[in-house]
Amino acid sequence: MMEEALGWAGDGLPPGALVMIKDCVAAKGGFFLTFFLKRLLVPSNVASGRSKVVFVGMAEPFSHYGRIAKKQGCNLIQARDNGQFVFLDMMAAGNHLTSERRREQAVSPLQRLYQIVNESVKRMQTGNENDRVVIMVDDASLLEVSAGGRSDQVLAFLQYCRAINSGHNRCSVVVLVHGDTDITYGAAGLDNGGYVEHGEQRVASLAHELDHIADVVISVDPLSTGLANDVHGQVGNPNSPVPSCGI
Amino acid sequence: MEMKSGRSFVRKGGGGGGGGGGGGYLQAKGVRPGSHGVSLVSFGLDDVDQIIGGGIPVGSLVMIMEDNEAPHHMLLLRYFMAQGLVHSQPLFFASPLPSPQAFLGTLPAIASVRESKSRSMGPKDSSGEDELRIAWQYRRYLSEQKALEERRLRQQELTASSWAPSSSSFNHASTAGGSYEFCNDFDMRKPLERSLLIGAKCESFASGAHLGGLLDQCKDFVSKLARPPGETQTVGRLALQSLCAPQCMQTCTDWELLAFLQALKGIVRASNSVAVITFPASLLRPTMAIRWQHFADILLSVEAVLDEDKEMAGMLTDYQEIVGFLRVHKLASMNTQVPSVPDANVHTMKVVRRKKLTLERLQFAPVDATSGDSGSGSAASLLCGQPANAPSKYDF
Repeated sequence: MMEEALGWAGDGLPPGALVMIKDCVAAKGGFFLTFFLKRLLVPSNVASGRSKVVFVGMAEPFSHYGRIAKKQGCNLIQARDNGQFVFLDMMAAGNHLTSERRREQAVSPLQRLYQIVNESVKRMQTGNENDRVVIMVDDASLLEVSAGGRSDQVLAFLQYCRAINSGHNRCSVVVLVHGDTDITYGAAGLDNGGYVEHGEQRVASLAHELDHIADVVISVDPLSTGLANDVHGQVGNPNSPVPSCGI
Repeated sequence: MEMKSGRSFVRKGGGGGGGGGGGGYLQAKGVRPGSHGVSLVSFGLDDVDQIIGGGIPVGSLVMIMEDNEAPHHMLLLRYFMAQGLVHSQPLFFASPLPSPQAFLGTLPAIASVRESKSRSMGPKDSSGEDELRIAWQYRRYLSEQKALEERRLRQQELTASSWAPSSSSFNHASTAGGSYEFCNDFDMRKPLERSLLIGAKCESFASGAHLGGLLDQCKDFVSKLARPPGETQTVGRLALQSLCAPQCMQTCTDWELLAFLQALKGIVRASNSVAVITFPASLLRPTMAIRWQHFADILLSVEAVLDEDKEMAGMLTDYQEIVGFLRVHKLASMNTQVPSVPDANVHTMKVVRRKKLTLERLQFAPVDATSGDSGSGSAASLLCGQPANAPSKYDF
């Protein structure tokens, strides 16, 4: 059902596409990433090719995704051993992005991350010209923190990732970003759980800028009437006229 | 520093390696299995444990938004730290207080056994047990009812924790060192035994926080928790109070604080520790406050209650006893993509007989139908989660 809403042909993401998942404090969008993982690593029909995934994990460790994917029938450990899935663990202590020494280096942390991602993609190439590679980022707001607030560096990083070539096709990028960090009014933003009414004054921010360059924008919001046990939120796709279902 | 190849970022081994959230549950004192493969530690207050879903998952970050008017977050921190020390879990406490060691002297002691036993016998219906004055004929049905209730409750607890019970009682567990309670009863009138305070390490950033140094101290603290796989593990507790207080903000920028939080979350996730961070959210810029909220696994906020709020007094029956409200914004969803929905968003905080903090659901007084239009600034909307003056389309 979600594929129809997104308008997919079923053989993986179109090359060079940028899919942006926008979430907020009250409704997290992490489940979409595991949905994409399953769809990309375990194709529904044998004829379509498998995509390869490079996952930049900044918000949760590998075990989190592994466990969820296992429940959905997708074995991430096996995919990693097959070379189909690469997990870049940014949470591990001592990694380049968060160490103090990064300030002394000439190259910015996002540039180094790009080099690592590029290498991983190159290493995954098998010579099959129709291979598709998808780079998933969880999440871009943490990239912004690593870049010290420079959202332009994050945008550049994402555009560069999109331009990496693997065989015939460019890589596609799926990125999760927090859409509620650009509110300007006061503590009321805290009281209502981060649910932003449309039309509030916004400051230009990473989510806003990504909105413009993304091919597909999926926004995850809580229900405006509050919490419910069975329905956790609503998913919207501004490109299509019909709003998506509650999940 | 030379550039490492991409492989150094890929975690070897299937998510294990001694960290919390790995393959199996932790076997340690004061740790209970939760759902989805996470182990839980107690907050120190059984009301809070119930609200956050059984306990704090090991490896998670609990963030509490403070209220500038009242120091209720300190009450919560006291319980958290006391529980850790009672279970011999190492504690690291950082605070803008000039001498955090003095704060440790205010931690509550375990309530004496006699009092806690009488409380467990039936707090709510102790009156019903002996003193059915009007319906005395039904006394014999009461005990049956209670047994049925208890059995049902135990059933629920067993299925909820998805854990083959090795002991009959829910709150007790036994390890090699004898039996102990997962969540102790504390008495705020008495200070914690000084011998237990040895496990605590304090750090003050009254003269400005040096984030790099603080992060290194946290890393050291957490690295000392690691034990070889054969021995019993231990869970460490980090308590950082008022992290974005003005003393802290003098020496570092907003983004540096966020980077510190990101690094801290990474450290906590990869080890057997839990962290409770309190911060005065209203002192941050709104965009920063929202970013801080995103870091939290469990997000709570404490609100003070005004002294003379007539509307609130009219709405709630027990207004006089309330010292504040605890609001639940977000609950942990580690190892799962299904968010937990709290039963109730707002709980009242009361201090019972100056001894214990209790959290209860809101008890509304019957609504007076003849009262006029409540308008957009009513106390009702405050309790239902909207800001007091928001022109919401769902006015209550």
